[in-house]
Amino acid sequence: MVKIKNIFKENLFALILLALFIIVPLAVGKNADIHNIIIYILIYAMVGEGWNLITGFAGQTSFGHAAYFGIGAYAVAVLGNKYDVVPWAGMLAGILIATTLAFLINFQLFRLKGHYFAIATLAVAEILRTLFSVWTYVGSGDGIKILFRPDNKVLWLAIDVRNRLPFLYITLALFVLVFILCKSLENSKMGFYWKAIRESHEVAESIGINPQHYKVYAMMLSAAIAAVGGGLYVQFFKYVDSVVFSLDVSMIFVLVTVLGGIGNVYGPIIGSIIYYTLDLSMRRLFGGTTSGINLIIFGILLVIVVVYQPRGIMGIFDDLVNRRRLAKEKALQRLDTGTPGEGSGGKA
Amino acid sequence: MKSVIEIRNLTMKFGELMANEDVSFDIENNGIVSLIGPNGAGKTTLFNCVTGFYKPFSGKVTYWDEAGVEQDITGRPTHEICRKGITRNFQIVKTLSEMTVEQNIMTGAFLHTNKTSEARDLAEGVLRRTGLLARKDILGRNLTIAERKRVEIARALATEPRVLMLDECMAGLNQTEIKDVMNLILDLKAQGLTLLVVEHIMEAIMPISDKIVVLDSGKKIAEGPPQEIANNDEVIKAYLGEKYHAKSKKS
Amino acid sequence: MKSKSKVGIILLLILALLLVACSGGKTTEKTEVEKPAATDATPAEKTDGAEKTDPAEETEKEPAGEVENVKLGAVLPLTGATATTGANLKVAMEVAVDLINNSHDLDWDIAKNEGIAALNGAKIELLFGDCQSDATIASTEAANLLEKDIVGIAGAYASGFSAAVAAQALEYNIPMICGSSSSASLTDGKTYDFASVFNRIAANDEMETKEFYLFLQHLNEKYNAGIKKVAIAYINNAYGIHADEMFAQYAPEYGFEVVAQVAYEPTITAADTEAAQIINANPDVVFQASYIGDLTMFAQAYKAYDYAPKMIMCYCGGFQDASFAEVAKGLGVNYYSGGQASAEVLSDKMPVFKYVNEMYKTKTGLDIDGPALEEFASIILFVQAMEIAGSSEPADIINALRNNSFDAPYLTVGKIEFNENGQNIEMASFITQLIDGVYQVVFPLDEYVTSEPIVNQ
Repeated sequence: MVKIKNIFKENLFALILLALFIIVPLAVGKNADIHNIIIYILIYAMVGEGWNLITGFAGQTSFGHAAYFGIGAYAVAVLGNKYDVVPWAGMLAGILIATTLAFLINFQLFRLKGHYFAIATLAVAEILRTLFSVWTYVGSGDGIKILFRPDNKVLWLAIDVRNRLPFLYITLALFVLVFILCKSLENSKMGFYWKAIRESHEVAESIGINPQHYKVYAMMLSAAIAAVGGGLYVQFFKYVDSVVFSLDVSMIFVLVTVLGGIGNVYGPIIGSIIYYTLDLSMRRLFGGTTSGINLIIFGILLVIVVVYQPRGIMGIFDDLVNRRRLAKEKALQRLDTGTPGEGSGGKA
Repeated sequence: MKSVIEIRNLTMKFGELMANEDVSFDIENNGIVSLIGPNGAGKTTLFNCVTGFYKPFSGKVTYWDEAGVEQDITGRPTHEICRKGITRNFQIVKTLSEMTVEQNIMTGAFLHTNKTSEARDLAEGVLRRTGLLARKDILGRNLTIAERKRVEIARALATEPRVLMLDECMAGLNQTEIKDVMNLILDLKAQGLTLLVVEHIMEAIMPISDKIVVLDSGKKIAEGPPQEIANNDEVIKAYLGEKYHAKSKKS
Repeated sequence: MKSKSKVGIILLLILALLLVACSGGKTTEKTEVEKPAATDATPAEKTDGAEKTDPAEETEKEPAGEVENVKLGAVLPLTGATATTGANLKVAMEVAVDLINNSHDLDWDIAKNEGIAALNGAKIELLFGDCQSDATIASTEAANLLEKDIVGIAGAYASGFSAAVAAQALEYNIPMICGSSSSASLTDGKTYDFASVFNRIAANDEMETKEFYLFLQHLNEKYNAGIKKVAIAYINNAYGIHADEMFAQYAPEYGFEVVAQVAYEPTITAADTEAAQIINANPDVVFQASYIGDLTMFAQAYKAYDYAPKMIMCYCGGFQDASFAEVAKGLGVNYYSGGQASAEVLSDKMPVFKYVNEMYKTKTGLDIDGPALEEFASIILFVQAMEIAGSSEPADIINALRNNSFDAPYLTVGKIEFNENGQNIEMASFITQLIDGVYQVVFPLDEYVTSEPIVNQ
């Protein structure tokens, strides 16, 4: 009993968010705009969570996550169209392929440090983009339009455009799984090790961590999650072409995570919510004219956040929390210096 | 006493610059060996060679683990050496600043377990042994220098090493803090650890070392118990100076 | 503490969601950026569900309570890389709405009638969505419009965007008329599955390619042009990649040799490298699959290198944009040709076209170009279908579009008819050459030719 109560308390924020995501789609009735936006938010937040593992936790910046996202999308589309494979199985295939690719190339890529690694990840995505734009098996320049028209809706994850709700809730469920996974990873041996690696390879090595191994694990997990996101994406839009591998797409994952708070498991979802609600409301309020005001305003907002608080929205709150904590600690310290024994400096 | 680490003819070059030249000595089991020498003598380089941060140009480092198995650890990667039982700290203190004290230590503790709860328990033990229990929830970047150094040692202890290598762990500390660290080192020895300590602060290590090794310009110029070293003319000439020579005769 | 700040975030989010939900049904006072100094009556036209009535002119709103407006939707790239073209296409569509809804003094029943005759004079309400030059957004915007009970959807210029919109149209079973996208795969019956609802007016790039090669053969026969080697520079997207495929596929059949195929990214800011690659291959004729921005870059690069091939054939894209005529004139070059569905020089021969061009020119200051004319046509066609079907039900419109041939007095071919895959079988475009900044009709040889082609030797 107490344990459940504790879990509830610790994750209150997450549970409130979850409740919102469940209730709001129902509350807005037939509003396709809101349904679409929520599906968007969840898919990109999901991939953001994956991206956060390698860049936020392990500290290795990846600018090419669209590579794994795109693989997930194409896997579902190609297998579904050509071999009548159920999207769930298509997503599994996407996970396998993306993870294998992550495993194979990152052993080499991780020899590069910092910025060079980031550029290399970009190159990987670009290579895939060029390849897929000429490879006839996957539709080359035309891309792939999802052609399968299933009967059993839940099994096939089909979207009935009159009612997007089933797809929305399935996406939500998958996102919750990913979120729980990332949260528990954060508190696990892997999470600790990643954070150590992020701060200092040397420290990590000195306490027995092999940075290579753990970076590759992070990359593989990250790729798997991105592939799931891609599989959902293609089913939603029913169309994918080589543009899915472009830098623009990779930067969406970066953007929503940085906006919300990189290195924080709540970052991607917060960032995604803010980004897409702002984006849509800008477009509805100012769009439709040819002035592009919405894009300008949005760009300015992004710049403000990134310049003034690089750790994103969660960073702002973390700082507030830290300031309070520091004040508390200082107060404690002042108390301690009066008494002997355990306390400041510490005695053996 | 049996040796835990044997260093033979260790040479390290950076291009044409000879940082360590043909250095050999043993580190005996459950002993405190101090490595001293003037600035630029090659102490940290030797340290890095033994702990896998550099690959030595030539020479051999042999290690005997708990079970007495002899292993050649020359040029092995640091994390492998750590897993075998040799852990080091850093001259410029590297606490994991985004983690709390407890989390820092837990990260070390994970070497021997996969479960967070076990790591936490192990960390608690270390927190007690090093007197950091009261500070366990403080973030790394909010700690004082002395606390950080202590946390680094604690983190190293959490990896349950056979040999602990400390690189200038007393630099920047005041008198009281230095005394605390000295007592900690003696405690650790009492708990069974073997220690290699690189230091500049003579007053601190002379009283607690079992053996002192002196480097100068990359070469070993002396090895022996503290009294012998304090009276060694070569050493005095290279390093100690008249003042300390007289002091140590008194203590 | 932490929970307090988190509560703050939650409030922020709720606020944001409310903002979105509200703006969906809001009536905003929105003014169009390009409000024209219209001499003709301005139509009662809407954007995003907001009502805007023209204050001064003689306007009519819907007849009091009698008939409901018929809603149509259009997705266009109004911002982003192809924004300038998008803006022009929007104007063309609005011209169509104006012609339909109001009475005009023109010998054409659609123009003469107020509203849709078969539906008791019901008027058209055209809703726009901006796809921001992004296929994903095109999809969402299309879905948004489709949810608003439109009976037909038009757009979206670039082939990739049109495919995305068509996919949504299929889901809702609403007819789509795509005016100006050129990728043949949209109507090849196997790449996509939306043939049941999708119709496309422009000649696809397969048709265009064949016509280009016929033209080159004509130049060889009649003018001894000696054209043998051909090369292509194409933008690396659905449109360009497919054009390149067609180019390479048909060259041997018509007796030409491909010497280079150069792809370039949509994001380039200068075309020097690619231009150099083309020049190095030493072709006699260069093909370009480019939009206005990149085509201009190539034109400048070729001029900088002092390069003058015998001809540059342009696929439907930047060449048709009237501003390119200025570019070519400014550079003093006459070797650009391309397919066009419209040319101002034909005004004297085609009164309806002349009238439409005038309306368009009043609002944009430019002569109407091929793509714009095709988008204009898409709206006209919806109404023509409704006239024939006598209904505004999407299913009836779909049916009518497929089973009839439509009057198109603004095109040289005079009519539009769609095959079973949705492709207009009447080749709407002819070949024009930019001579002294004017689009002259040079091929095929019939009553509409206005000039002899000039071959650079």
